[in-house]
Amino acid sequence: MIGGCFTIPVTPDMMRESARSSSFGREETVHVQRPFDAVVSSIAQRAPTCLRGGVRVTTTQGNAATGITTSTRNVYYTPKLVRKGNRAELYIQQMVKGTILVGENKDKIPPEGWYIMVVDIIPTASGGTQLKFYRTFNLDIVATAITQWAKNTGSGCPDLTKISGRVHEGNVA
Amino acid sequence: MKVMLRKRGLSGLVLLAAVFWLPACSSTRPYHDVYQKNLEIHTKTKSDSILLKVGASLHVYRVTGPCKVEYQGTIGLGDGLTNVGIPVGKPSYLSFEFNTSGILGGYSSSTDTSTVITPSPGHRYRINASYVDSIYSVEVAVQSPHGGKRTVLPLQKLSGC
Repeated sequence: MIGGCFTIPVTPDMMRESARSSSFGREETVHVQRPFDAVVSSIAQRAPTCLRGGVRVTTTQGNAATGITTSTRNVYYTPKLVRKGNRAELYIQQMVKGTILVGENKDKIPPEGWYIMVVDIIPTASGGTQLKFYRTFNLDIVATAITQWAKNTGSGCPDLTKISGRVHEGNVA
Repeated sequence: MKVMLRKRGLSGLVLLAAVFWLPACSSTRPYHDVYQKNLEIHTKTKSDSILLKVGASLHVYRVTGPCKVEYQGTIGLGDGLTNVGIPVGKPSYLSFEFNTSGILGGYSSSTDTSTVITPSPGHRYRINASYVDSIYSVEVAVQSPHGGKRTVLPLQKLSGC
């Protein structure tokens, strides 16, 4: 076990605040010229397919002389889309298994994991939709994919192995 | 010997540790493509980094029962068109795998997406498989024997799983 000092965002509001205040966070706004209901429908259709899944991350160290040691952890992602009045919110949570996690709030982590992205989906007066992303710095491709769904310019999935770590990664059931 | 994997979190460093042994092995074999070509696979790959290369491959399985498949072989998919034949009237489970690896070694990743296709006689299936800048998609469309309009097919999950 390794010590550390950081705050784990265990609620959507904590994620928003972390994105604003942390150098590892990103807050950005995207305007989409599509009606709110169409945008929410597109995201509702793609998010469960593309953002729910597991990734195995393996790190190998050493050589033939010293012996090779491998470290593996499984990272699981869960999306959740909720309607709140005239707006909607998309959450992405992350849970890591096969590891020891250290940090403030580690005992308050929900079963689906801590929050790594919140997207506020808000209708605009002009008939379009505003997406407000609150996320960790490494989720560029996820934000790009969600923006493509919202704009109806693409339906591709972000490669979740690209946001989970390094060395060797692959899907897990 | 302990191995420590360091992952950057939102507000600092999330430090994680776990130790497992993972055997490295590969059991793929070439797909024995003896059927009439009824899959037209158009592949496009592009890496978002000059230090990473991307490859694509198709793993073909025969569906043998509810949530049961039998591996038939693998086809490497270069950019452009690849014609493949799968048995007509029988369900095949097609798994598209996209691999990324560092040109200097030390890093590799793979992700996959899959569908079940049961080809109808005389029908051709056009599949667009793309992995561009770490966003991937597989789209399937079918065209009738008389060259009618292409119909987009949703990706089908393996039943019974």
